[in-house]
Amino acid sequence: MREVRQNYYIEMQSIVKRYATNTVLDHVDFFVNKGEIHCLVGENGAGKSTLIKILSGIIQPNEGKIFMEGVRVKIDHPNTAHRMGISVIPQELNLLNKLTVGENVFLGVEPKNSLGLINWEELYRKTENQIYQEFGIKIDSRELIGDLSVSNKQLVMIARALQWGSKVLILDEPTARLSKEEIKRLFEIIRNFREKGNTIIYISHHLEEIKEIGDIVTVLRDGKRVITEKLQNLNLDKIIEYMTGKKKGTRVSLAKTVIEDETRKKKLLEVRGMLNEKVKNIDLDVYKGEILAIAGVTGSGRSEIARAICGIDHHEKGEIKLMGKKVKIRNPVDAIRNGIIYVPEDRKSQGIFLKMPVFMNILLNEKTLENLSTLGFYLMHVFKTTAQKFIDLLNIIVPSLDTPCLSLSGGNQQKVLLGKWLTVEPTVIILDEPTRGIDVGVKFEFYEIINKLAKKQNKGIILISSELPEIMKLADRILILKKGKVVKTYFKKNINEAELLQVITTVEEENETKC
Amino acid sequence: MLIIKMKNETLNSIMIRIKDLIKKYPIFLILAGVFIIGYFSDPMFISLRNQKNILLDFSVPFILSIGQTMVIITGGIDLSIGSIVSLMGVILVIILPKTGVILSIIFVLLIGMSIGAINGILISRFKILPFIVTLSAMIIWQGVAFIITGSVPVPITIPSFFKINYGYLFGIIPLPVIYSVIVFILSVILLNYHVIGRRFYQLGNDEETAKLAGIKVNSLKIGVYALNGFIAAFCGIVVASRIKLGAPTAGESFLFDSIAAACLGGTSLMGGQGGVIGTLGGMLLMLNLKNLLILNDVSIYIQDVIKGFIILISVIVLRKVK
Repeated sequence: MREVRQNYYIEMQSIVKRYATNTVLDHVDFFVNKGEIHCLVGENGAGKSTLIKILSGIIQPNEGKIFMEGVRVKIDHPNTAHRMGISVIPQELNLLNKLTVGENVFLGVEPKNSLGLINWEELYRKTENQIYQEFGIKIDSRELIGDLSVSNKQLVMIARALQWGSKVLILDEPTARLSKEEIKRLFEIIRNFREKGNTIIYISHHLEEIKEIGDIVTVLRDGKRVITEKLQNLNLDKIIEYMTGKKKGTRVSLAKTVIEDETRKKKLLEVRGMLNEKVKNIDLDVYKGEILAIAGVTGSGRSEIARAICGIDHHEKGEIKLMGKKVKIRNPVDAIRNGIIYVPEDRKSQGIFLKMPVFMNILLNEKTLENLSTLGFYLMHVFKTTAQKFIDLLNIIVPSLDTPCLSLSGGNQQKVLLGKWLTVEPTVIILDEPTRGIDVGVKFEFYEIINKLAKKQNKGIILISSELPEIMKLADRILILKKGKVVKTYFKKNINEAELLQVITTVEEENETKC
Repeated sequence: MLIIKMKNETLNSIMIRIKDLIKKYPIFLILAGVFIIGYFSDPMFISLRNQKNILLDFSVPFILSIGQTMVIITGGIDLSIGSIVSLMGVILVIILPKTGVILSIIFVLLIGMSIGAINGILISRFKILPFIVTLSAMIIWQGVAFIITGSVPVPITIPSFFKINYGYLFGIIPLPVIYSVIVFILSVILLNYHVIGRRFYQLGNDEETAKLAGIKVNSLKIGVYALNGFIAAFCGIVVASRIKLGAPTAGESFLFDSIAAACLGGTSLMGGQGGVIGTLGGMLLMLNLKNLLILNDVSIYIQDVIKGFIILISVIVLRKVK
């Protein structure tokens, strides 16, 4: 019998999803109206992605019903979702990197000629027209996806969804790797899509963005729906309160504890004339107990400086002094031995062995392993007790030391990564986007840890970040980069967020004209 | 008349096309180098007679490398083709006298295709790595070939069967050359203009994405291995007709050349990239090189050493060009 209901465009009713004894979604209701931008927020592990996976047919719920335009539907496969017009633009864009833009847009729905062969002319022409009409930009549709910027790749994903005739677009953390300008463009595209009567489900950790783009928000916490409400009736603090279940007061205290920089006595790190392909003549100092932030748009050379200092990328010229002593750093091992560590941005590919247990990941660097073993032989309990020390220090939540990192949340993975580097007792710590992709609660914990490392343990910290509030909260000094050069240095007390934003956006505009 | 018309514009556009070709398939540049060296070391090398000989040697390895290229594009590899070639020759020895040429050929092609399909099923449904599946298949079918004949090659006694290899089209073009041209053209069309061919690339790029786009990944895998089994069986027939024997070791030498040609031609072993035009260049390079070494009386063992180095150096140089 056909169950028919009214009112909502998509109605997910009383959805339950269990993994073994673990209930990930506990009778969640999720209602979306046609033509709205519906935001979905919640801390990591709240069940957002599980809910989305159910809606897009990747996994099946244990209980619950889904209605679309009032008709009961069963979404048992991603193809079913496509046919119903639901498309996901995931965080990890699933595009075919070695193939052209056109082929990716028309993946699975290639236009054919009368012989049944692919009509490449039409395919490429249509792709270019479509991208130009929908997004107002020109992309060479014969270019390989791998050569595109992240933001353009995202547009290709959206173009593909439109090609498949999608009426519901699910965007999962779409702005995580975009610059301010690109975010603006994306928002325009999203709004255009809505104007045509289509529906957007928008998932993000950036609550400011949600406030800006969204109509309605649903907050999930611990697998349950907390509230669905119009965004105009909520402010950020209220949303955070719903997400965390805690009052706001407990977490702002940090802003006050940031210590003014008065300890400019001892130079820890001195870099002079660092030069390679991406980095142009960088001079940089880090003092004891100081947090030096590096700001700039994507591609300005933020990470490249760090990579050059740590010997990951080779440098043609440049001198590095550590506590007044000249040191040679030719590779990461040299850097670690000298106490300079780099915590990379992309933890999946550059930092963590996902299939290895937590404790090994924490200890896994040359210096620590050497210290803890004799002639390469080691005692398991020594390893485990050492690892446990850092797990406690960083408050990492793990079921057991043997759990593979794969099954930890993003925030905890990031902590494991940090813990791994702290085991070498570093003097200078370079953090590249330390809080990207982790949720609000853990973020604040991280801020406290970073602050403690600098102010209590007197480490020198270089913080690379694209989030200005984060920089404003933590940094003592701020370095602004443009095309691999330092254009300005500010003391935090001499600049506010708006000014900082302005400096960086002017940098962006100049970059734009070059493109 | 034609030549006058061709003057400027046509000549220019041809030059641009050649440039494009070299940019896309730099292997042809190396091939040109081999020709130049060959000409100076022994002018015989580029003589029509010598090149015709190369072309005759060329057909079977090239057809096999086309099949291999398609498998590699999907992100897999097929190590069993050499054994299939051998096995088909051996089977032909047995069935030719009983069933006649046409039926025997159809039968053998079907067996080849089934062997390939079994590989594909094991790889897609049972999720075993292509390397493992086809390595086992290589060993198994090689063994079966030996069981059938023992280690001694058995002569084939049906003269009409030999036409498959020794026949001519219009009295001048050897049939094996025709086969390779046909297979080559069909494979270019399949890979570049047919949806199924494009699916091979899409599958090789990212299986998960292909699956999410509604592409039937499993059938596609079974298909490409079955196709490759079919191609290998076809080559088995041509080889048997050429050597007039059912020999359990007839296909031994083809496997590595087929992979090497694909790699030289720019097909990535990671899958998703490359094509048969590059493979054509790769195979031409290897055979011309071999011929050149023979003409210069280089011992067969040293030939292998040189061949190995050339493959290595070419891949390094080609990567630099890109």
